[in-house]
Amino acid sequence: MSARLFLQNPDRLYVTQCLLFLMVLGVFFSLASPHFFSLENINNILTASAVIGLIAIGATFVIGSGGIDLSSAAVMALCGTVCAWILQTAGFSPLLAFPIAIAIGGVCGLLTGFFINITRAPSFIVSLGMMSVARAVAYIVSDGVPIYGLPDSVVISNQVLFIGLSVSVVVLIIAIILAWIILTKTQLGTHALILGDNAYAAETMGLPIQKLRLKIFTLAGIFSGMAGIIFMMRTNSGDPSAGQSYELMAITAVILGGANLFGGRATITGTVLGVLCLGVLQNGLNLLAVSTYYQILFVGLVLLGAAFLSRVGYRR
Amino acid sequence: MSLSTFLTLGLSLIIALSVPIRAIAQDGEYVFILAAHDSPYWNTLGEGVKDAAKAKGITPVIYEAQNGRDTEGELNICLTAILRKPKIIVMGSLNASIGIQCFKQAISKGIIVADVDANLSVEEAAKAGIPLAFSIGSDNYLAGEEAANYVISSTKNPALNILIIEGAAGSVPSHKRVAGFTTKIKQLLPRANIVASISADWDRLKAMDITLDVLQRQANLDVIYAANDTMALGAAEAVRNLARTTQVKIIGVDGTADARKAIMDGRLTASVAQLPYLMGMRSVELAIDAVTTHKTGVSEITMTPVLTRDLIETNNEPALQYVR
Repeated sequence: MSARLFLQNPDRLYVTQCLLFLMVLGVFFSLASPHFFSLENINNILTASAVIGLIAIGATFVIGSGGIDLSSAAVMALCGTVCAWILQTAGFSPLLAFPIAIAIGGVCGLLTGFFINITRAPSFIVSLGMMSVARAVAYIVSDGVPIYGLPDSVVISNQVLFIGLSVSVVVLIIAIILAWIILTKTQLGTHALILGDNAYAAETMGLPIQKLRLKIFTLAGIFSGMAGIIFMMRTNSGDPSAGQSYELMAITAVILGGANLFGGRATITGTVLGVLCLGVLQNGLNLLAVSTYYQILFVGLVLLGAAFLSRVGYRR
Repeated sequence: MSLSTFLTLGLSLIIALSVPIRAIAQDGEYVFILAAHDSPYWNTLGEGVKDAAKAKGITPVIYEAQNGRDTEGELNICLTAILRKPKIIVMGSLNASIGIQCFKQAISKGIIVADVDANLSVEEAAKAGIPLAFSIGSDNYLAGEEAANYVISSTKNPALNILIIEGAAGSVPSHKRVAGFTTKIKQLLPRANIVASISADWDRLKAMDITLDVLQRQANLDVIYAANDTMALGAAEAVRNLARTTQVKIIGVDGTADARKAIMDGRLTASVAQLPYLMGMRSVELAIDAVTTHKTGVSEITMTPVLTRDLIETNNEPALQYVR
């Protein structure tokens, strides 16, 4: 297959663009800092990308189906806070607390999908409401103060390495594989993209749109729940104010990876590359001790660049 | 090569080549991690670090976290800073857990670790097996108590009506500042009435709106205590709009330049100064000492003087030299 033919598929084109961008960043930071290209730093980048990565994977399904979930970071904070509360105050085992936290994420997503179905309001309005509700419940549970001091078993398990990778990275990899299978090999993934591409056509085809939406938002909630647990383990605290604006970072990563903000096109590979681009950019700028003001500027420029390239690709 | 692929490469190169590298310092450096780049408090602390470092002839690498809530972001910065193999990491950790999580990895690489802003005490660190070189900062709970003491000493009315404006929900400094104030007031002025204790998210406009709303239903408000100066200044604007400046005493925390000007103008009654500049200066001196002597366990609490118009005018308080 020629390169031109290969790149005629928009998914491949955007993934290739993102990969090229990632490679350029990688080469530049490797030359600029002797510490960048080391196993330890690569593990750092992947670990730091795990929370945003998990939220972004959930967002890939929502955006692919033509929706926006602004509640993902607040749900993440709620799940982490409740999990820390269950572990510390109720003394539950992590084997019980983790599934409960993930289930809470799923229920939040289910409720978001349910309210979109019954109100027929845009998903960003409904998820904005869920964002406030989730954040408020997290504050109420914790009395507004982060819950510190998790059991040793949780703290220690977070420090264990598997073939040189942290627990966060291992969870992220498993989530990526699962999400890739769901999006590319199951009816749910295919139907989600059809819904995002043309909701009217999806309805005419007889797709159970309301059930589909419930499943998509529940799935996104489950990934937010997983992100909440990882956040809690990394910071050793259940923080109700955790992850402010993480939902926007996740959406940025998904769009950077080539997804169409209006639905119909999204890939897990693209999202993962988008997350890595942001992670590498942040890590490299930190290594070089670049001022925070410039860091914010560069993340903004990347998003503007992604928007511009998306427009160019759309015209093709 | 397609146009968009070409543009990707072009944009990547432009960004990559235009990165202003502030400091690619050599190994063996002094690293300071400040908790927020968008806060006057942390900016002043950073100035203290820079001035003291210049005077002592060292070149510090200063990192700033995105904001005062991004705990994971600060942890990521700290873990990245470890790769530079500095002599010492002095961190203003957003909470004790973040400091402990990062410092455990730092000490395993032989890096000395220390705290600025007193969010991780020497005792807490020792419990986690971390030999903290030093911890310096003010006590937020004590700052709240100082504000309460000032209110109590400046009134003869035992049944004051007080509005408390809190910082962002979930913020530990705000929680401590409010807890110190409330506890002291309840203890020494049991007949005082706290009409409301509401969060304004550290935001001036929100504080102004809250004050206007509360003054609508509580016309006889006597005192407003805000957990920082920004919010106190918002409250001051609301009080001035309603022409109640002489009736309502407004007390903030931090002692910022804006607040001091407002005190001199008569818009603000007092501010509990935190002296971040002094903290920054002392953290450099203690860091150099720690690197030279390998001494651990030093704990310093900085003063929190209550700035009033009289105090600023008479200028006989030694701590005023560190007010920026």
